Amino acid sequence: MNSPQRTQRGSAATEAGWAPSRAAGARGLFLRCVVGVLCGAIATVSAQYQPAGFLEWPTGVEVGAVSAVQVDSHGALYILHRGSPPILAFHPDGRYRQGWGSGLFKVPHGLRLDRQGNLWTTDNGNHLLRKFSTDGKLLQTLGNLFRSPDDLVFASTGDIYVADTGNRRIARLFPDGRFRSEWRHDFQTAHALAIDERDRIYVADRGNNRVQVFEPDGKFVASWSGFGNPFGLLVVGRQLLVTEGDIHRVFHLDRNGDVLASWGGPEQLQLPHLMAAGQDGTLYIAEVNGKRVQKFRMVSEHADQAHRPMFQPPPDKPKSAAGLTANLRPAQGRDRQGGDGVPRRNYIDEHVFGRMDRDGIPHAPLASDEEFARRAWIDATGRIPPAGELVAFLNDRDPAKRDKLVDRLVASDGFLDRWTFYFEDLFRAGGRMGFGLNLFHYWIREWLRLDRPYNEVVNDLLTQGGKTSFSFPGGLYFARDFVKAKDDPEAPDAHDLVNIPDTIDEFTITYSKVFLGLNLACISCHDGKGHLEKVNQYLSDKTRRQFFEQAAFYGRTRQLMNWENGFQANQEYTVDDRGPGYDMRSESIVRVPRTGKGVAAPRFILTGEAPQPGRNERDELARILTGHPQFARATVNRIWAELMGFGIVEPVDEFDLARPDQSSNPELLEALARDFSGNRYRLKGFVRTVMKSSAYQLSSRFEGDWEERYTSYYARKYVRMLSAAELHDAVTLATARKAPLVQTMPDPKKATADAGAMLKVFGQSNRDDMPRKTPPSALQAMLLMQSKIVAGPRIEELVTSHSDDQSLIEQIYLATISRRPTDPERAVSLETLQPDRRKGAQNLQWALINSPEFLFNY
Amino acid sequence: MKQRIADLVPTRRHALRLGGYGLLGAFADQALWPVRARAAGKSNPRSTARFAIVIELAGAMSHTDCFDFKESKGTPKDLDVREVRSGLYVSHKLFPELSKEMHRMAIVRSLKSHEVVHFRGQYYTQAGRPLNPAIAPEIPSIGSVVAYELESQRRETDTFPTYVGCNLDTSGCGALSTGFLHPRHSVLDVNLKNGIGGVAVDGDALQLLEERYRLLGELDKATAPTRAGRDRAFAGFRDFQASAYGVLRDPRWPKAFHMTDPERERYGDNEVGLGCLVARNLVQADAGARYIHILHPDWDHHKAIFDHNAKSNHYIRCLEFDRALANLLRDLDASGHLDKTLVAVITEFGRVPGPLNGIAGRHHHNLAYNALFAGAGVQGGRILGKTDETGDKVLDSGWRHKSMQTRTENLYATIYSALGIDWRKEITDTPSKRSYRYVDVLGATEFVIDDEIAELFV
Repeated sequence: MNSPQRTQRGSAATEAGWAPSRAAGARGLFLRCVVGVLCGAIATVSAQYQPAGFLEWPTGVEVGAVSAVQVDSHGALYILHRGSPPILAFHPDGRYRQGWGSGLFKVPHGLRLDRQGNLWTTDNGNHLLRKFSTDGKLLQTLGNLFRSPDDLVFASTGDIYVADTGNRRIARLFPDGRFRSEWRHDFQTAHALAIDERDRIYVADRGNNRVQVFEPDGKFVASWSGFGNPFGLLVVGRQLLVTEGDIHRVFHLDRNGDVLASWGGPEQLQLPHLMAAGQDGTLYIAEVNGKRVQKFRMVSEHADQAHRPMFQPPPDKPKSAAGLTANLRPAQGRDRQGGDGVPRRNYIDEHVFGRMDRDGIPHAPLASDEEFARRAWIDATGRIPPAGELVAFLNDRDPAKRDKLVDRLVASDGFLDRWTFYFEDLFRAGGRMGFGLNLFHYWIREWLRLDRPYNEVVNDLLTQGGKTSFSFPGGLYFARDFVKAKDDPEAPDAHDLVNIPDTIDEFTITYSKVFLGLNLACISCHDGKGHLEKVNQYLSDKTRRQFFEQAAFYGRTRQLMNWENGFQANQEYTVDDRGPGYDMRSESIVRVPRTGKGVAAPRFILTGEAPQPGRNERDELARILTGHPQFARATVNRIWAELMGFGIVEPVDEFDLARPDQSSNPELLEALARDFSGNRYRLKGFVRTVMKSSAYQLSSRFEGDWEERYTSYYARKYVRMLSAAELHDAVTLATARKAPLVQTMPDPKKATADAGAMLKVFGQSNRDDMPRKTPPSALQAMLLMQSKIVAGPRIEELVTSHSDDQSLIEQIYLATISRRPTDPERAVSLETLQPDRRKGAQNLQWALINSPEFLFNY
Repeated sequence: MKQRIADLVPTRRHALRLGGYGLLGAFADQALWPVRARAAGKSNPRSTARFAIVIELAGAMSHTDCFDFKESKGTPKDLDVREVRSGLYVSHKLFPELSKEMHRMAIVRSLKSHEVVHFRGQYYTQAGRPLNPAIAPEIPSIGSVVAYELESQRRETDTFPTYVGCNLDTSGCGALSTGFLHPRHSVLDVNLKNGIGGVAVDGDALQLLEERYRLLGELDKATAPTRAGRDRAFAGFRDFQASAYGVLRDPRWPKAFHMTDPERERYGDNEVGLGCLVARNLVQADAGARYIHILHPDWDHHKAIFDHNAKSNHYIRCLEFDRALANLLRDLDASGHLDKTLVAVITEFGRVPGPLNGIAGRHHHNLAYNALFAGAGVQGGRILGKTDETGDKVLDSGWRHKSMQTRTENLYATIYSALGIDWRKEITDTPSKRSYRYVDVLGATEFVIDDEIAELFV
């Protein structure tokens, strides 16, 4: 070895400094420091690098997590840490020289000396690149293009390559800092860079457990894995050194990506991060957790090969093996089927995955962040995510970010709108509520906002009454359901009288379905026996008499049209409890005649319980009904169906209480019901619990052969088309058109003609006799392809504000289908922008809106 | 009244909602529903029609005030009833045009309905069998069955869907789904009053659409890798887009919906008028549509049936229907299509004959009611069946099955037969495993015979 031998110092942390290497020409030294290793030979681990101590911190410096270290040709060290001051400069002999940068950094990350000897930093928090002279003078700031840039390297041409992590790309800049080009390659986190003598770029694709190699122009060369998750990279001679921060080791790879050696471990390294190598081969590693810089001396057994020429012919390895390595798909860091690795977040997961484990059912992996984000936004707020918030979520590295997103969404106004709309559909809050509709709307919204216990809400819906329907929102639920009386020949003008027993029957069926999930329609006409054995075993034992007795809770409730000045106030009515009781022989307009005698005494159909004497029957009904476990079960089943695609019991208003096998997971249903009732029937908390479970967060992508029988296990996310209102609102948001969101309107029928056409074709409920449905039809496709609604100022805004085609495309994708484009999509999109950029962008958004990725909640 | 009854069985509605898409999502490919059909008996469809137009008078036509005319205390004095042919009395006030076309039409007077309520009756009219909530999700509409049956006859140039509906969404049960059949046999239901589906795409708009659709195709290819393992729904919707695009690009489509003012005037600017106009155009275009179901709403005159001041009354409805059907028949005849187009007028049940009720209207009546047929070999002027003197009960069934009244099931058997479809077929491989017979003899509380009404033709 030509370079002066350096004696091994001890590894005492208090070492004051070290002897500098004697400069004998940078290049010569560099050659001498090459660690020449015959390819394929796995050197003995410990012989390569020996620990050589730690950098001593000066007093007065508050040391934080140490992110990066650089050493110049003289051996002077520069440190970037997350303390104060963030940039520290040391003399080659180890003495502290100066520090600077306080107040300039948010999350300092990367540090790099360029070929002119200037010092560059990257900042994850303020997204800036800064260039300093080595005495601390700020020379240049680059921003605007980057999002959480992690690292940068300099090519021999002077071009700057930036690991633009938040934008999932490598950006290539001209030496003066102007943007030149970029490329992407499915990076999870482009965390660190290295560059070799041929200006090839190595990217530590952390999160994907691989290093990717590219030509200087961005052309993909190879992908290497098999050594864990790369954090930092360093080209040393013919080797690539990789720090693995999860397991605290250093790997040595050869030019084929094969692992030659690995060393370290938690005793030696505490989250090794970025690295630098001195001219003399000393390796410096910044340790984040250790808050220190450790150095390692190369003890070369092959020192005599140091003078081997740098550019060797490619090693003599079998081509197929090299190909294997290059084509290996990296582990995605997500879960494979079989249940392993999916975290059990709460009791829901215990039940769902427990059942799958028991029965050996494979399931989909967890959804990606992009999939999860869009889905959570839509399910919680009925809206697609705004691009800015979406990107912030995707870039967020907080491991708890999904939970926090759920919390945020459920607490938002959008949540109130979306679920108000849901309950309006459920309670059929339509025109028949007359002028009380607005009141009803705001009443729902308010109790949702307050997260009022749902049992109290149902109590209101069942017990309210008063003189005018304008004043009691809850009672509107009963009032909207009246059956018109047969016209009285004596009073030919009185056409809107109410047939009370029939009305009571109707409402009994309604509230039993909605709150108990029981369909009493059949027994409202006849006994279950002889009719329902094949339809509903529980109800096949019930009689029409029992139906009358259930209806009798409303037996004395009347609904009276209000008259004023001799005219009917058609949409205004009084609800009171002064009727005569449920007469079992009263005439029916709409059913087979009632046969019975006398007035029915109220009895709750599930338990036979009668109201307490002296108490108002409706109050008692509300108490008994909401206190029965079936109320909680039916309610959670509905909410579950809404979030997961279908209920644990289906249809959600056809429970057969005599058939436990009807429920696909009775234990889960019980657990959900108990959770709900145990938390005072509050909806928001329940929605949060479901959305935070892994069961909710499974992907819809299932690799392998799906079998029908997997369905009831919720083994994947079930794709559903956006509802009519969601679709309208999604189009409105994506195009930024100026129109109210349908999900904020009390009466969707008041939407404009074009909006109304879309709602109709995509199956919006009329909130009277037709529930929401989305039958597939070519008419939907036709309408969407030429609807005037698919137009707004969004594209114009983006075209103007994004002169760079790539970022324009990305913004269009984010704003429309809430994810970034893949490389092939990018290629097609780029072509579309030629020759007319504006038109091309409009066409692109149109195409995205007409894609399944837009139309479906997946 | 219609809507109140509907609430009676909201769960049936819910059941219908699941329609043709099972639990997994909106679409599934053919593989999920291998449809195995087998003939339960032998039928000889007569194959006289290439097209079928069904006009549904929703709400129930009063038979004794229309084509089985009976004078009673309820009959107003201004109906100008005349004997058009021996035994056939038609009101010239109500049917000024049709009374001249009676030679084209055959009347079936011996129908009996299983239903008395609108929701069920209108379901019955679209599905050809009574509502059975237990299996309703899987039951297809008749039109979808026709689309399924005639699919193999579609030519390269056919872009229009086989089954087109007009105003079906205003039916009490909405437009029924394809049930267990593939969603591609779905109806394309256009609401002519709102103009949905009738948008003309031409000139610049068409060029833009083509450009965009091409981009959609390219993006589709680029995105394909990310869709691996996803739900079938994704591919399913692309199929719909492909057929929708085919229709939009076809210049015959906007032409079919292009209605000049004189034509609107002639046919009448209302649901049935525009429906018949469009039906005529679709038949004449012969671009894929073979079965058209037009819904003419609002015949439910429980009160004020003959009150000229009422917003809706029998006069208004009959006049609308009269003008529409008469012109349809004339135009189809003039263009030579009537011989291969079966036109059927169906309603869900009749109305109580005799004196009017307490609110000057007529309530529902299922023991006797009418249907009309024309075209495709139907013997015009023929009258099948006879009712008693008030029109309350059927005395003579009018066909070979002396003891069985005719049913809507038989009307559809006739339509199947005219279209060349074997109406005795059954499909066994349904999700519920219950066999689906094209004519469901056991679907109701009374037995139905699976026979066409051959007496209309021979």
